[in-house]
Amino acid sequence: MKIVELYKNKQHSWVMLGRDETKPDKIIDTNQYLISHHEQAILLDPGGIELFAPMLEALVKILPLEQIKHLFASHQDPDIISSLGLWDQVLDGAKLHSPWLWEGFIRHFGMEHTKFAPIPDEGGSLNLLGLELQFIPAHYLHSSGNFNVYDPKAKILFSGDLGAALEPIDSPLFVEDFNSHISKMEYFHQRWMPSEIAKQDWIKRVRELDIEMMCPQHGRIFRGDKVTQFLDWFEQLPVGIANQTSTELDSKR
Amino acid sequence: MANNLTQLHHSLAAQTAAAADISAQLNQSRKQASLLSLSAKNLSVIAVRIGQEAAGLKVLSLFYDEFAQKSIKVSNKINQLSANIAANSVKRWRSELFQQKVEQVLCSQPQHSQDLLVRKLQLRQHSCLQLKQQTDTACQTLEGYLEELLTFMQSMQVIAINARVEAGNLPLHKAQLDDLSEKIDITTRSILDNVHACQHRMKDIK
Repeated sequence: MKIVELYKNKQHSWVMLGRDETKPDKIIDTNQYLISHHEQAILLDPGGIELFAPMLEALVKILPLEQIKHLFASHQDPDIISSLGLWDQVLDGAKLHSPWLWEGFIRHFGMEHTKFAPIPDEGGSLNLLGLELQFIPAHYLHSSGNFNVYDPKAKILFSGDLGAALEPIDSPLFVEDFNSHISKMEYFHQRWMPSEIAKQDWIKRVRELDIEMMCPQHGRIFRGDKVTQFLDWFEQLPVGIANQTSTELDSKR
Repeated sequence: MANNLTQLHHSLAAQTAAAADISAQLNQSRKQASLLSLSAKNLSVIAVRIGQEAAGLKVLSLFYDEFAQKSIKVSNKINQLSANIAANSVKRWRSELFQQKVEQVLCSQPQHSQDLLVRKLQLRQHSCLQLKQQTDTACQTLEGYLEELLTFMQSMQVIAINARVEAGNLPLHKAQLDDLSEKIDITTRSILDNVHACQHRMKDIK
């Protein structure tokens, strides 16, 4: 599992954990993120059950596990949070921040010691020892109850499945040439994202944020002008294509 | 080590399946015991209609009903115990999986071995032992209940023989009483078969 520090400013850091070479071939590669501020940390989309051991291996190298007081699950999918039943046994009294919509579903993964902190549809925030993290609504992109996490100090947006690309394990960590990256994320966004209205709503909301880095849960990270390039590209992309013919799709472009 | 764990996970899965199976079988038996209770009440009604001549049959019908009620109670207890055993197996599976992953981390990162992890590992090992002990105790109780149910059914079979003898002394009602005894006999045998199947299934739980 690769450990990459994305941001560091005194006691405030963002670390990306991903590109795990030991993972079984047929499970999708995922990016996990750890935000630390002073002596508290939050793990964003901790990953699937298969990833628990490599994640734990990586985390023990980074910080004392007691510092992880919060977990965040952008939505209910297994690649996001099916490891919960195991984290639940290692973290004492951690809080899981997740859309209120999914509580009853997520609890199926096993949750005896962790406290569920429901995020209302309109979003919310979390104070991490003075660092105010924002939960940004991203409903229907793709899950019907879905959030991103924005850190206004680091100017980083954890965008979940938005900006995701399905790529091999040895892919670069950052998007360098946006145009050549399009083919790696186009189908994912068209097929997984169901709602044009939700898409435009999210783009409008995110354009108002000051973002230097946009970090998806799969694939490469967008830096600087690549973030705007992504938003511009996504804005004109037809989504929810499962029942549409290629002619219909072409006519929408 | 990985093979042992896989075997353990399989045996826990088999335990859960066996407990669910026993629960399903005994649920069936509980329904049948309710039918037995109904048949016993029918027998009682017939005995009252016949009058003094059928006083022996009236007593037998009370025994029938008593055993049927006891069987329902025991079946309910078995159902509850089986559910507990199945739930324990799932908890143990999750706990064993956690231990496996943590041991893997502690082996590969001994220099980063954190107190918290070591403590949690010990806690889970302890909790697994406790869960195993609870399952063992539940199994012993379950076997006792199955044995009890077996005794009830065997007693009912004895009562059924006596009921047929009594029916022989009441030629006017013989056909009706034989029919009822036959129903009781079939139901009792069916419950006995279920109990034997459950006793056989117990080997997957222990």
